[in-house]
Amino acid sequence: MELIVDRVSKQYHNKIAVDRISLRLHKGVYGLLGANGAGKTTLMRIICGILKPTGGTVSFDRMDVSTEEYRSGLGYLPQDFGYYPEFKGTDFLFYMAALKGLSKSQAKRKVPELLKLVSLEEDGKRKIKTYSGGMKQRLGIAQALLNDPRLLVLDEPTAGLDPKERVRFRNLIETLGKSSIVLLSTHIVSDIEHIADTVLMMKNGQMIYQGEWKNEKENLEDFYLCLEEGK
Amino acid sequence: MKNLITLYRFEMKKIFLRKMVWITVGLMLVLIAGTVYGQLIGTYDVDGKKVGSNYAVFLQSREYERELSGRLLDQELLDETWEAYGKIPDISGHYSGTEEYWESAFGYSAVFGVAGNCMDMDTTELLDWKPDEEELYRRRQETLELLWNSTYLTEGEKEYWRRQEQSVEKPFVYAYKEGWWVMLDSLYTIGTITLLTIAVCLSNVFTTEQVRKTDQLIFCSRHGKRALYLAKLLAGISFAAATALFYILVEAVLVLPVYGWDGFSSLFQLIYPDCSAHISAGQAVLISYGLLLAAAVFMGIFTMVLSEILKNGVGTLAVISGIIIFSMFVDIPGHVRILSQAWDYLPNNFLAIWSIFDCRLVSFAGRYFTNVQFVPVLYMVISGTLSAAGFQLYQRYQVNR
Repeated sequence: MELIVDRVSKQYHNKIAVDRISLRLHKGVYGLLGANGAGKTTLMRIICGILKPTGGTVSFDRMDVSTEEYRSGLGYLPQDFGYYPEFKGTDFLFYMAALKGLSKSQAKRKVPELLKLVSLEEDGKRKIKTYSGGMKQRLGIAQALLNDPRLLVLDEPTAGLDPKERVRFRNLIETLGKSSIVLLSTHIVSDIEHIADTVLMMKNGQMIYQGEWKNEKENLEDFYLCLEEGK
Repeated sequence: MKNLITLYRFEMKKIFLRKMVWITVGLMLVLIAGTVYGQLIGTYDVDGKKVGSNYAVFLQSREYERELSGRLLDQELLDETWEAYGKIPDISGHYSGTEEYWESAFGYSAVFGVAGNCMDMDTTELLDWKPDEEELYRRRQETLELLWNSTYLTEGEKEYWRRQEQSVEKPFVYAYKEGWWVMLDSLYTIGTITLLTIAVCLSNVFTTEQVRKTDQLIFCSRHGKRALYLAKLLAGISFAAATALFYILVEAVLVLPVYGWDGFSSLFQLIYPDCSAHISAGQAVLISYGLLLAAAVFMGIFTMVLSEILKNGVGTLAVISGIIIFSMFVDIPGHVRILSQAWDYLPNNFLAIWSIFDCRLVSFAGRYFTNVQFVPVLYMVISGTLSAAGFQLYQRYQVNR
């Protein structure tokens, strides 16, 4: 299982959002850190195939990012995304299941299972417009896991979750990282400190650090701030 | 394939869950009822004097016309009609205000009207005319020739219509056909209502994903780039067709029980004398409403693809409403033949009795095709091209916000 990001760049007019980034990711949890505008979301979108890079390639087990096969093994939780307010929680998950290519029987098995996992089993029959921000975020997590993704991309996954949910979700990611590639970005350094096997740091579109955090001796937050400030 | 059906169901659900859809359909139903029953409401006045309610006059007229149904429009009926009209004392003024008109002539007014249409005569000329069956049909032919000249038909087209005209049986058989006439008469309004409903309801089938920011989830899913496009397109097409069928059904339910089902097999020329096609009034209604269905599907595809190009639902609606309103007020002169004919193929221009049964033909591979034959094929070809272009655009979509 290998995700290869090879010299990927994305340029918008005069701004380089992602600058010649190369990565080779294997099974495990990868924490992506960076300030606002560092290029995290752009890189994640490129990895998910919803944004075409200006240069470079992305492949997963030799499948190009543009193929249906690549997308069938992908789970994505965007940072800022919407729902269909008139849909019930279960409707939304069944719709996403159909989009992800799950059969009806697979979807019928998977949807209640995931609703339970994200503690929404009681609220599945309610319309999404009645959900709180945290509930919507949990529903988003559930949809990302529908197809048992081998590559899971999570952009700010813990935003909007209460502390208890955050801890539960961290544990879930840790478990998922044992069997798949999990790439998550967050502003909350402690989230990454607790669960990421490897830390990736971005600044101005470039990867400024890539390595296993357990090897480092100092506090991750201090280390990150030092790199950010260029010390 | 199974996922396509599931996705199609969800796309239909998305359309029907929008409040705007129900509000628009509700408003349009009120408009349809107004169109159909408008002429039966209020009073029938002549020179400011109330003759009766419009509904009572309609009932009386229907009774008389039904009595005449089945009779040949021949010398005998013409003589009877002109004899009845001869009883009106003052034919120069507003004769319909006289008692004699209501007692004698009113019962024959439908025949009087058909004769006037066939010969393109106004009331004064008609009243001066000496009834003559042979002259009636000879003048009809002359009127048609004048029409063909004024619409710049080629000699080949004229010959085509002359052959068609020969197949129309004469003398005409008179028949009460008001129900089918009202259906045809309201086609333009129903057509515009249908097209507007489709534009309002389908202009955001694609753009809703950007507006709601669900595009990110959709485009990274396995079927988000191919099957979903097809599912959305099919759902839009189904909605457009269902809307047209629903409005047609509503109109038929409102019109036919009140105005009457009789006259389905009556001559179309009794309703629209400018046409020489050998069809019945009922067949003309079926053809016209079949074309409404085709235009609705075409408009559905056009709306969805345009919204995919503009990436803006409101903009799409504005463009389509603009085209509909603009085409209502702008007419291209007949001497610019190709442009004028093409202008009439715009769905809202086309959905009218005078466009559908227009005498201008399309010549292709040595054969002539009427609008009824040509326009659905044209809509199909453009729809196919638009759908393919829309697919290419959809495939290239990127989440760039």
